[in-house]
Amino acid sequence: MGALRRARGKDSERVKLKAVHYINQFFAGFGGETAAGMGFGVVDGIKGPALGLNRLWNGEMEVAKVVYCGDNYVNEDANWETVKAGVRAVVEAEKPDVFIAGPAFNAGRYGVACAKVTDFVRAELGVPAVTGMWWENPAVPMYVKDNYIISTTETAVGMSRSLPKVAALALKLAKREPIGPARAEGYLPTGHRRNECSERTGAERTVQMLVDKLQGKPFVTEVPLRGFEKVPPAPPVKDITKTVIGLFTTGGLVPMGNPDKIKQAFAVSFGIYDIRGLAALKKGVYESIHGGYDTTAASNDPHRLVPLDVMRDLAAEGRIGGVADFFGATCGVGTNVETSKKMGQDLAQRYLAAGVQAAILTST
Amino acid sequence: MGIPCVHVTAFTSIALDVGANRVVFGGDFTAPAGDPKLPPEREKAYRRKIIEKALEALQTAVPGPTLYTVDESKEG
Repeated sequence: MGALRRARGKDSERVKLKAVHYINQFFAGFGGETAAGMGFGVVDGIKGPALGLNRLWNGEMEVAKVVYCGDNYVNEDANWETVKAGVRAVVEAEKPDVFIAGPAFNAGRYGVACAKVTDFVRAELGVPAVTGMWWENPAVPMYVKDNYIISTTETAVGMSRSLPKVAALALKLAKREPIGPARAEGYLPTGHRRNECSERTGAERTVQMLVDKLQGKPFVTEVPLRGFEKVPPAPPVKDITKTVIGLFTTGGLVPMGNPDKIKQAFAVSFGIYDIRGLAALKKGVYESIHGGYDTTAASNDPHRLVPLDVMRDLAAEGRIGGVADFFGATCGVGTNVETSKKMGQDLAQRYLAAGVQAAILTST
Repeated sequence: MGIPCVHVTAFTSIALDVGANRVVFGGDFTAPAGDPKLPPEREKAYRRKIIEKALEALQTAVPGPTLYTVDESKEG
């Protein structure tokens, strides 16, 4: 069903769709690690997972050529031009309707090889391309934004479960059919968003999700929440009586008038304010400009955000080595994670330069 | 290379969830290092307790996100 009639030169009886398949030295039958240094080549006949793909396509499409390269060879920068030239020659000779690489499962070098070649064929040779691998493969964050990467099992033990998804998407790409969202087609989310119409309103879908959840039935969220990077704890302070401590607040405490124009929400910067010689932070000299909470209490007594009074007492008593010469401030509402990371890195540099070895962060 | 840092906040569930390693419960949402409901000297004493708890956290090796709490602010 759905076989295309096309004229290829004088041979106008060819109706099947064509694919070119890229694999590594292992799937091409040359061996494992010992053959990882071998260069680019074309397999004699059809070998490896391509046989499975042909069976799955059941006559609608077939792999015209299988190409391979050693996983070490392809990942060495010096060889990349040679590999590209080899791939280009085969693609230009065969004029496939789709290009497929892998699947690579959790193999890192093979995954990167597949993604690199897929990306090259798609972007520079203009042929639709698809690969497949385990979601944690390091190649994924590198290439998923612009490429179709089918989500496979973790190891090749799952080849028979993974190959059908690769075959199905490859066939759709070959036929130039519209490709649906990741959850429907089985590829890893690329991060692109497209609007689509639904028969049910958002309210109906949300309530249905809640009902399912309350009844212990499976449900699928429409908005997956991002996880957070795990940061290992810094080692503890060895001698607190000799440690200079820095103060930072995300509560938006700034000198009256907000001279640095810190944004009240979605802040992209933080201010640094000199407190040398100051025993206290006075109302009317400082204020909170944070756009996300009632700042009355904070502006009435800035120590509710930056506890300088207590810190000075502790320093005078010898309990701590001292207080940093400055406090830092930003508004912690709608601050995105990437910006926050950069601010933290910048602040850490300043602390290190100033001999500050510990910090207290106050957040509203 | 990290500098040990204590996160003082009333919103400890978020702090722990996003992975802050040393978290001290402090004050209320609009005043993490204080409590506007207390008279000024009591509030300053409470602030001191919060900071002392923070110092304790700084000197402790923690395996991961760890919560420290201060005794009732009512205790002078």
